[in-house]
Amino acid sequence: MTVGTVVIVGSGASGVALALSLLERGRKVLMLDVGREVVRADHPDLAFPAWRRSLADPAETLLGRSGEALVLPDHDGEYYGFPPAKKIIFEGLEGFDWVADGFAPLLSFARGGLAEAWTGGSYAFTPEELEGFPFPADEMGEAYEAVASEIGISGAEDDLSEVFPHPAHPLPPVEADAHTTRLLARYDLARETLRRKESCVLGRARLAVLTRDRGERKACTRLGRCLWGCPRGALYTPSWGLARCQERDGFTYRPGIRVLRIEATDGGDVRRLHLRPVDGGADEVLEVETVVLAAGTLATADIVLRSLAGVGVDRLPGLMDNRQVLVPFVSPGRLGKGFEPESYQYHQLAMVIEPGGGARQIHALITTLKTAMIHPVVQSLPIGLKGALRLFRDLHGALGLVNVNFADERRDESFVALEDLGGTATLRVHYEPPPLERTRLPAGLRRVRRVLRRLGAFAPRSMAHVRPMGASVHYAGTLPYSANGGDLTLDAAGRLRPFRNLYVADGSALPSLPSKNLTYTLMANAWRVGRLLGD
Amino acid sequence: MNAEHLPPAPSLDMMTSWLGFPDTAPRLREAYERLARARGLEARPPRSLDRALDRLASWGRPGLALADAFAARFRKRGPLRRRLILVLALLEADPDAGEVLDTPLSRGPAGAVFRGVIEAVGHVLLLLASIPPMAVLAGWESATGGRG
Ligand SMILES: Cc1cc2nc3c(=O)[nH]c(=O)nc-3n(C[C@H](O)[C@H](O)[C@H](O)COP(=O)(O)OP(=O)(O)OC[C@H]3O[C@@H](n4cnc5c(N)ncnc54)[C@H](O)[C@@H]3O)c2cc1C
Ligand code: SF4
Repeated sequence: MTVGTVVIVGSGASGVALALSLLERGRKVLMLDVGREVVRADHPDLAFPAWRRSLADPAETLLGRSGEALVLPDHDGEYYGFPPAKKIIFEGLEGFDWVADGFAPLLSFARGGLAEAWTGGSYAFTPEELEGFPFPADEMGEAYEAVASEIGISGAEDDLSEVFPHPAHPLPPVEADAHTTRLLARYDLARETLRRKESCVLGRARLAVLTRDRGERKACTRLGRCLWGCPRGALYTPSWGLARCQERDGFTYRPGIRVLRIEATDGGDVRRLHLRPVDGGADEVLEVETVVLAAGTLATADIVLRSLAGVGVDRLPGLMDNRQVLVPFVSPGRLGKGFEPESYQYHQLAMVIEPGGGARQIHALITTLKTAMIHPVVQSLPIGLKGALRLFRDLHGALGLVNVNFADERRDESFVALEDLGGTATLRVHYEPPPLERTRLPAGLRRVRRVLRRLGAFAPRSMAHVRPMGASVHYAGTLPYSANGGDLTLDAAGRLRPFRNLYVADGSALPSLPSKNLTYTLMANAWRVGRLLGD
Repeated sequence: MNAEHLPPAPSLDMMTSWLGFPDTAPRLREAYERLARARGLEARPPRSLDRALDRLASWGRPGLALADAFAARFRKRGPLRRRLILVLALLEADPDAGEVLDTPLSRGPAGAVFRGVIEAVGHVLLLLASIPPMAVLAGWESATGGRG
């Protein structure tokens, strides 16, 4: 391998941000990745209704060859089935076995990782939320801005700017649909009361969605196909960033490779990586100088635990994730008014609530219902299916969903471990909710329902759905930054102690998890690690 | 045996036309068969209550309406409802039917609320009306094992 090359494991949001940062500083990068390829959506000019009409077999595209996106009544309470075209993003990997308790893990072995399916919410942490990080918040500030200018983040200068400090100058927001506009108008009227009584601020979502053309990626034209795959590249996914890396000198991408473990000297010098081609063939050994793990929190834990199995480390404590609760709501003023299939499909509004009483901030994303499949919602109405369908047609334009996120913190009881199950090294993901969750969740949800009432909307209590831990896919905390030192923690540069040349740059690094979506922070952190390594 | 001809379940034609889309069955048939098979919806229901529901549902539109109301209350996860949900999902994937489903039936909040009340009352009446035939059919199914 060429001298001075940094090896990055994983092509997800983290790995790609890191690679771009290193390449910008003239460093050579070799990216190793399982990297299954996701097919890019076509017809960048067709909005959802016209696109559905253009499909050779709409049932197969929308519901899947074997009906995998068909949501039947024994489903898990989610309100949409996942599009079949995105199935590959979550497909498992032969030989990568896991068991879980209290947690429903989602891993990706796709080119671009989990964020090939993300919803683009990009919310920077505040300086207070970065307090546990062993470096000044300003360093992250720079990185947030660099990432924003690379991927493009849209939003508005509004009340949310107080709680989401970056990017300082977002692209203009995506055009709001009529339901969103109505909620915003109601917020304008209730603003002072909401601030005073509910400690709530609301504003336009911060989204990794272009509202101006940028090279190959084109501005959002409200095609309403976000869930099925944005055909314009308006919604950033890491595979677009990977394509940018591939244009640069000094970048090599090797897909089809699973990194099994690292091999280091007793002095903590990582010398080799053990690799396994995923489509068969003999295992390989790669000599390395500097390695950065960015395989996603759980897969990175797997690599580290496999590497340390011989020295008695079999568990990484501190696994975190955001508890999410889905709260469907109705805006009665929009009943019978129809919906706009041609509009941005995911959340267009975000709100932040300070619940007080020692509880941490709540972060909620508000989506107005559009072109996702309707049969999961229709079947949840408490009358016969034919009546429910008629009712739903009038309800559609009035429906929305609040995705309420709760913060988490590192606790020893929640961990990732490697266990020998029947002769196979198996990843165990174990999660125990924080002791106060039982009281904090209902109190937070009451607050959300009150806010919705002031926005002229009504949220039936019985329809709220507490998602299982793991469903938010905001995994973090297993190899955290620490100012105090200690093995298997990171120093300020992202170096994993006690190793000399092994770095970690994904969710594993976070020492705490606010209620906000974390990926923007993961990218900014990876960018920052790249800057330190590259300079 | 295929899902379309499962006795005494309602046919695809009956379900689509009852849902208000009488012309769609021919173009949905292949996908209906395939998905019903893939999701295990073509087996004969082992429970006598489900067989009774199927029997009621195959008595034409009135029977299907009664069975739908009964299933919504007492067999939400039962095979009849699952097959109806499959048909609904296929209709929304169909460009023509999907566009119809995307439009509201009422012209604003007042009309929608009025329609909602009508639907709710209609559901309660259908549910009440479904109980006597279901009691008879379920009794007969459990006595004969459905071989009558
Ligand atoms: C439906 C959905 C919606 C979401 N929405 C949002 C949102 O709105 N906002 C937000 O902030 N976050 C969101 N997320 C979360 C976000 O997707 C993740 O935080 C993010 O993808 C994590 O990126 P990562 O690069 O750290 O890891 P991953 O995305 O997990 O990428 C891991 C990469 O490593 C590779 N890899 C794994 N193991 C190995 C190995 N052993 N050897 C070689 N390569 C390996 C994989 O191929 C992959 O390329 C969402 C997630 C989902 C699923
Ligand atoms: S609405 Fe969604 S699919 Fe359409 S251009 Fe915008 S981001 Fe892409």
